[in-house]
Amino acid sequence: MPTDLLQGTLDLLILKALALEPMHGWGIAVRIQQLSKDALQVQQGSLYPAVYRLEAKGLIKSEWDTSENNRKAKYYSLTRAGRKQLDAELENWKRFSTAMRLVLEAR
Amino acid sequence: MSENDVRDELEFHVRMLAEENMRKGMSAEEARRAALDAFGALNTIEEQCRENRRGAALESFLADAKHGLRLVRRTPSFSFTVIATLAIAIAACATMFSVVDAVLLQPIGYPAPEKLLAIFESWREGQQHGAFSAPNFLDVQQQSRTLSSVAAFYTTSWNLAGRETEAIRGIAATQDLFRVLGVPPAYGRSFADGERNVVVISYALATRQFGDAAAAVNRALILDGKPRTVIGVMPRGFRFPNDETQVWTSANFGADVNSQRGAHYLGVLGRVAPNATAEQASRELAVIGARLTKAYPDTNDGETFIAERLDAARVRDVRRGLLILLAAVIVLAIIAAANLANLLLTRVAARAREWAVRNSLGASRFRVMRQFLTESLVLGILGGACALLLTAAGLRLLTRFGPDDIPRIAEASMNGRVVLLTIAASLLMSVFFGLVPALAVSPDRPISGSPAATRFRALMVMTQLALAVTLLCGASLLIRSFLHVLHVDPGFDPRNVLTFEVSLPSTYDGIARVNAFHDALLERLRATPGIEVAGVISQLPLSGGRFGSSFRINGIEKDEWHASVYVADEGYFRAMRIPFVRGRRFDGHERANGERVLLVSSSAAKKFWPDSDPIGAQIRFGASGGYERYEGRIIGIVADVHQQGQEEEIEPTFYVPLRQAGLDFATYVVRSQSDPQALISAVRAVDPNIVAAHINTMDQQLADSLARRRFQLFLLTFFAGAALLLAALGVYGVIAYSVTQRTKEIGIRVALGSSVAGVFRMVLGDAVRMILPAIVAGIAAAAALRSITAALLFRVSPTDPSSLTSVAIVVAAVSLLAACIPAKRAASIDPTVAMRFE
Repeated sequence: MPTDLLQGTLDLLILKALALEPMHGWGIAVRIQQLSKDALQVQQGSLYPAVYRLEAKGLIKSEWDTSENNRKAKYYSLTRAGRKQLDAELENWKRFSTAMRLVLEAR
Repeated sequence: MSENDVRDELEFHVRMLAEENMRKGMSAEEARRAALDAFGALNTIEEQCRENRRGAALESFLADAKHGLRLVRRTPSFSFTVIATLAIAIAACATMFSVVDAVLLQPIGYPAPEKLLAIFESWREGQQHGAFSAPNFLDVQQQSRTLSSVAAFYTTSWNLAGRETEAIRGIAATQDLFRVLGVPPAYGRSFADGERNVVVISYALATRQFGDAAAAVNRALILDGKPRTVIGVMPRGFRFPNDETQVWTSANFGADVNSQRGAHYLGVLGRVAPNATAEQASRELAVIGARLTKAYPDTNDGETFIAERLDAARVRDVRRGLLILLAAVIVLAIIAAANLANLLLTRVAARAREWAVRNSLGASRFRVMRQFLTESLVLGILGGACALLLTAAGLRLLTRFGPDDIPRIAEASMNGRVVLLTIAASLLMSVFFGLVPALAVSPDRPISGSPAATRFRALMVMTQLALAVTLLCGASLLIRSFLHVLHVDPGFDPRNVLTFEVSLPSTYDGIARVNAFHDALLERLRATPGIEVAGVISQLPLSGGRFGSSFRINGIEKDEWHASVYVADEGYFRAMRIPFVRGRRFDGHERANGERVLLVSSSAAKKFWPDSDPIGAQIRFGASGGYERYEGRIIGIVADVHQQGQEEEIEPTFYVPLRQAGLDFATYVVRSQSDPQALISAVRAVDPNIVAAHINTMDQQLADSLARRRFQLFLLTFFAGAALLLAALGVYGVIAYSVTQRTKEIGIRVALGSSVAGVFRMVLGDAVRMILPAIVAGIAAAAALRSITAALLFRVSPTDPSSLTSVAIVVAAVSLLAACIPAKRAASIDPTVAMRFE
């Protein structure tokens, strides 16, 4: 069931999606859905403002290229700063979810 | 491309969605519609994307700025030093610039100022810029082809009737005055030659008397007891020749003008014709002058006519001084800038680790530089804001305590130009300071420790010292000049002397009535308790007035000379305590129909009678119609008076007795401990239509005459002192830093047996190697500039050895002292601690 995603988590998902290989916006949306085994479906439109924000912060960079079906598309990839940010955020997220589980499962 | 690329990207996604929909079985149309629905409003999303692309740049700039502000707060003493230095340096420059701008750069408010000339009679042995006589002026007016209009003027004084009689200064001029200036009256018209009882008044006077400037025309003002019709009102802000002039009337040279060629009292202005140039006019004036010298050898021998642009003429005396002060303040700013650059370099070195960490975290070099720049900009903006406040305060101080006699200095203000300059200077400086450390920072290059950097710092400090030395030499010479001026005996005793002016209206026609007034007033004054002595003079010393005439000595027909001529009574010399040298004084019994007598000043006696006794000589003054009756026999010699001030040459002077002159405008001089109110009452008691005007003390007027010199001295000394302080700080900084860098080395030396004194000597020796050449360079520069500074000095050579030597000693002492502090620290370095020092 698609859930509404908070802004910060969307950023994190985009970064993770790009960690494997460069992708265009559509590909990012597909991959997120794939990796979550369909549990997360990105609100199509809200993806792009987030991507632009990430690029403006210098965490991802873009390049126009030809897509697999021969169309012009903008491909995004992680920058070094982006990779570092992703690692840091993953750490945070792991710690956070562990804490949440402890709290929520407490008797 | 960039306009549509966002759109293109979004389109790509929508199309991919649509294709997927079509694979699910929708028609092309349905697929597209479903895709757009799922995607969202294309326009809004596109807008959002663009905003995010733009906004983040601003966001990170704001983040940098906030970070910069935090940094400023975290290092308060460093930030304070930088901001204060910036603010003071920029404020000083902006204030000085404002003055220079108002006085020298802003065009005077007359059209085509390059064609507006002030014309002078120039004497080979005497004044370079002397007043004109009426016949000379009329000849110039008639004979000049290159000047389209010429006008002459002299000062007048009026008593304006009202609830309280008021003294008003005015100008009497020939009819072309406003045409020459190029400013016609705003309302009404100007006067024609010979028009009597009509006045043109100032805007201020019109609004004060009649409420509205336009309503003033055709109304009447009672001046000197007679109604005069206001025929014109000048535009608001019009000032000619100065702020005090309120009334312009038609000049009256008298019926016998042609016999007055030797009486010089007129100011003359000319406007160059449209098809001529100022140079042509100058040449023509010289030709006319030569022609008149040949035609009238009696009065015009040894002189020519010269012309100068009016705007240049007005600032001739102050221009050089102001520009020197501006140069001095810029030098100070350079010294301050060097200090700041050094400070920031040091701080960058301290934060080297912070930069390294940021670098490894992936911040690009550009981002780091941008952060440096932002931090510096924060400091620069704060410094600039403080500079604006300081400049405003400085200008207010200047207009209150500064000299009044610098033309247009009151116009120096925080106008747009000054504000712009302040902002630009602070931004420029902060960019400079942001770049210097930013360029020095690089992950691989070690900062500030390199020999090149050390040499650079040493060179900067030496430059600072040299510049400070030059400024101090200037200040020292000015101090010496000022002391010399103070020591010049003005020729009179200004203590406890009050002065005021009276101007007698034309109702006092005839010498008998004029004398009756003076007798009555003098009697009343002498009867007033508290007044010891009272006297009268036609031109008070230091009032700026000068009255000259050519004269002949009976029996020596071939030579004609010039001297100043003033009217005085015996009380004047006593009130001013002007010593009497020899012969007989005025005794108050000289009458208009009695024998005409004169007093002569001792320099005139020496100059014109080098081998004989002037007493008994008969003198004829070279122009008649008001002057010839000044002829007389010399009965006594009085001491010299510095009529134009302690710095000016003494003029050879004759004195005519009060009651033989018919003086309708006079300055009263009173030696008194009493209240000025007593003077006002005394005058009013004699004639309520006349007012005692411009009451002042002689002490104040003497001080005012030195105001400009005192102002220059104060400013230059202040700048030079600040420069020395900054340079000393620079010396301290460099030596301290070098000691820190060499801590290990010093530790080794001590461990190997070097004595404490030896280390101290070593560090001090380094300092001396910097200080000595800098001082020498500074003195050499001061000597090289001697032709520029000479004009400001009084009886001091610009290369006065004792001044230069004392400056060298002071600077050496101060800077060695500054170097001693780190030297002492170096001497007490514990070698064991030093070895562990990173």
